[in-house]
Amino acid sequence: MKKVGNLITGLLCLLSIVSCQSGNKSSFNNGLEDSPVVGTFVQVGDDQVLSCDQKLLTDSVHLLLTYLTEKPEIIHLDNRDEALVSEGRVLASDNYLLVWNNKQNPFKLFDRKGNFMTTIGAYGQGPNEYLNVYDASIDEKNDRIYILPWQSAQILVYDLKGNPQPAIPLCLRVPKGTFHVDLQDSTVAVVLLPFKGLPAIAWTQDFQGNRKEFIEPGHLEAPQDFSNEVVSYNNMPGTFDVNILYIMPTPRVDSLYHYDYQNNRLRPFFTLNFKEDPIPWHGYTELPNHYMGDASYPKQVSSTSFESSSPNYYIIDKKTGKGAFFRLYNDYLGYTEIDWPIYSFHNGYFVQNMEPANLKNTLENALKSNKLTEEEKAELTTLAESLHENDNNIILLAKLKQ
Amino acid sequence: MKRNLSYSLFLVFLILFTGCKQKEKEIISSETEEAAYQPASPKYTARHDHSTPAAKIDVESAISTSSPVRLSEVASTIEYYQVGDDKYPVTEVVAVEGGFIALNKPKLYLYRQGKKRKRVGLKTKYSNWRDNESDNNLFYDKKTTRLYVQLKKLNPETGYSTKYIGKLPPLDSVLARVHYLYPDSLPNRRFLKNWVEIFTPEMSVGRFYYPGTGFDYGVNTFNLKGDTLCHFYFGIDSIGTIKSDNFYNFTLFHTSYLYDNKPTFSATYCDTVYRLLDQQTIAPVYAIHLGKYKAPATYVINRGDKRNKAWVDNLRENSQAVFLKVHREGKSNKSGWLDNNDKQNQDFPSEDYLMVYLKNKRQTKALPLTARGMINDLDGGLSFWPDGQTDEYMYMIRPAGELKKGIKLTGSPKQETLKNFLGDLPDNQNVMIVVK
Repeated sequence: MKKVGNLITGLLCLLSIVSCQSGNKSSFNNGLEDSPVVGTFVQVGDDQVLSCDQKLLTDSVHLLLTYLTEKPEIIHLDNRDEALVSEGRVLASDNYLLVWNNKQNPFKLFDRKGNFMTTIGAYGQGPNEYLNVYDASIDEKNDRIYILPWQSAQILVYDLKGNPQPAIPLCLRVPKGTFHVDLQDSTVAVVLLPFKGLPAIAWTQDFQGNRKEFIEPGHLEAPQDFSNEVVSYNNMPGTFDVNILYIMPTPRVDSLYHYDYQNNRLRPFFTLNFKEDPIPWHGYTELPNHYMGDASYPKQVSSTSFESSSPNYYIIDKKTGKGAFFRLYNDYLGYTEIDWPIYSFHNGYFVQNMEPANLKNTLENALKSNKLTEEEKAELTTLAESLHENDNNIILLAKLKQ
Repeated sequence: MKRNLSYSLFLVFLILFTGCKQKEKEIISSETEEAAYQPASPKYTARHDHSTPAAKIDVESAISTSSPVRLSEVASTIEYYQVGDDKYPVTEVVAVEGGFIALNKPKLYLYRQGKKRKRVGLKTKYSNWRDNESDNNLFYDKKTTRLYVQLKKLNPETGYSTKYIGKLPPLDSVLARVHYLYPDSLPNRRFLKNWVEIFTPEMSVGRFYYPGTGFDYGVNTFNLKGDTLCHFYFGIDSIGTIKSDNFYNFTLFHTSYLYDNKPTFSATYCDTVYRLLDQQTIAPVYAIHLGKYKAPATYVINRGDKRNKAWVDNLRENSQAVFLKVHREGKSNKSGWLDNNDKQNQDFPSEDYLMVYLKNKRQTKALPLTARGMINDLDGGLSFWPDGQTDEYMYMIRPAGELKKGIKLTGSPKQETLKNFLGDLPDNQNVMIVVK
């Protein structure tokens, strides 16, 4: 019955949002000004943690992308044959876009105008090749791209022309992990999913695999289940944010941290206390001015596997602690709802990687609605007319407001 | 709280009754189909067929050697297929008469030599399929020419899904269709409690685990209705009593594939590769001999030093050979760290070996460490290492650019077909290289 109750509460939040969807532009909220305060700052050692309470999340808002980002660039990726990509994750830097690998398609590097530069590495089991990748990063100032495959004891290294460079041996084999490479300090900082038995949750090392500092897992030790995750979204320059998601076998309350690797400290910044028991599956994302998160409810489908319900999303202002459940709409693409909103922010950008046929379809539907001004209609019509089914994908890239 | 819940319930029911009649019907219908049959308990007692001794794959001896393997030692023919561009990468392949059906997710295409690809008339969405890393979602029955697909139907409101194996009409009729079939309209669907690891029309197979751990213990076979047919236990290492949450280790590897349409399995902490001969008979087919490099389960669980220990990381098979990737650990982890500061650990690096067990010669060879695969002496094309297998074929899929850049055309007559293929090859295509 408790589970039914949980589900109903979640459904209610969703339904109250859904009920407003058919409205016009006035149904969008300007922000979280009118939402309740949902948390308080708690002193934990030297750190201030924004500790929020799910019970206080009683409001639902419809936010426009423009609330969080600058005006986006629409980038048509190069139509050259070798440049084609599928829909998937994209990492942006000042001058480049790195499109994530997908099976036999390797990582592909583009400039910010969408011109194809080169492939990075290759699919396979030989030297400098990868199958499944868990984390990657681009350091354009130092002409480097780093790729961390699953279960790996090394980070693969390439230059921006795609030439393999000596790999970085790691101090620990990483089941799932996220990393920062600081070429100036010759330091690699790694945070991994700290399965029981592993000696560290985070450490720093040099490029030869010699350990510098480390942090023992302690209470952060993770149950040995690959459904748990460790992720970093890197939305604030110079901040190594880390979210360790403990959802299996039983979800537990956890925090969003920064790995201050110069001082070898994991500093907590945000947590949400759930009102339900067991607590839902959940995750956090940090933006320059907000924390966002999701909550979904698992259903057991066999003795060893579960699947999740559709998630509910919430957003909390970092300064005021005001927060609400939310849905996010792309006002630059005809006020269309953004799926999986909290997972679209990386490296300080909101990124959507869209198939032209799908985007065209979205735009055509949006143009039928009554929400658009004549100017907006003209812009979207021009964009829709520029799309051709067989073209390469379109990237919508919007810098986060700082 | 009670009051809140009642109010919530009222609102939910109100909305359900006023706005969601269509959806309500769909949910009820799928639940009815799912609940229509109560699966039966195990029907058979397992039989173990030891009539043919398991072949020994001698990894221990091969590790200290290095010997190139020519592709002609494991295959006699090679073919090339353009299998679409990087917008829709191939995630799975099955052999059919005269060609291959590949899943360019979410579209299924038939690829044949010298012909344009042909769309298979089943229209699915990306969300109908499992994630990219899960194989064994397609099966083609050559006797009946029917394709079987393992799919899911997502409920967009709740996010939960219903899984099933659907059987398509005979392939000719599906290819000739003017209108697409849709997953929901497939006449033959067998609903599943959960994804199955591997399946044929005769059975589906799922792994079960050593109590309280993630270690493989054996497999169950099921019939098409979902009745349990038989339990098979693997001959895994003795594990003893361990704490339930103390089983993770990166030495764990298991896989499954169909060989001669027979489900074949490797298991964690088990040197033996097993094959199901039928719904109730299992046979050990390969014994992977790691010798002094072996790290037994109890050794690993008790955090024995893995320096100079080896384990299998990948496994494939065709009629001529077994293909393995073996990792040998070069660094000590006594302290839990792969620590370069320890001078004792500087003697050799970690190494990954691509190994080939030649069935006829009963010989295991380790390729040179720099090799990306077997030397292609069939037509001088790219070095070959299998990404996957279907029937008697092994395949590898690589971008056109990699072939154009990596293949040197010498003018040899045996490169004539390859030369023609490369000449007509658009840069946007991925190429499936198939050997038999």
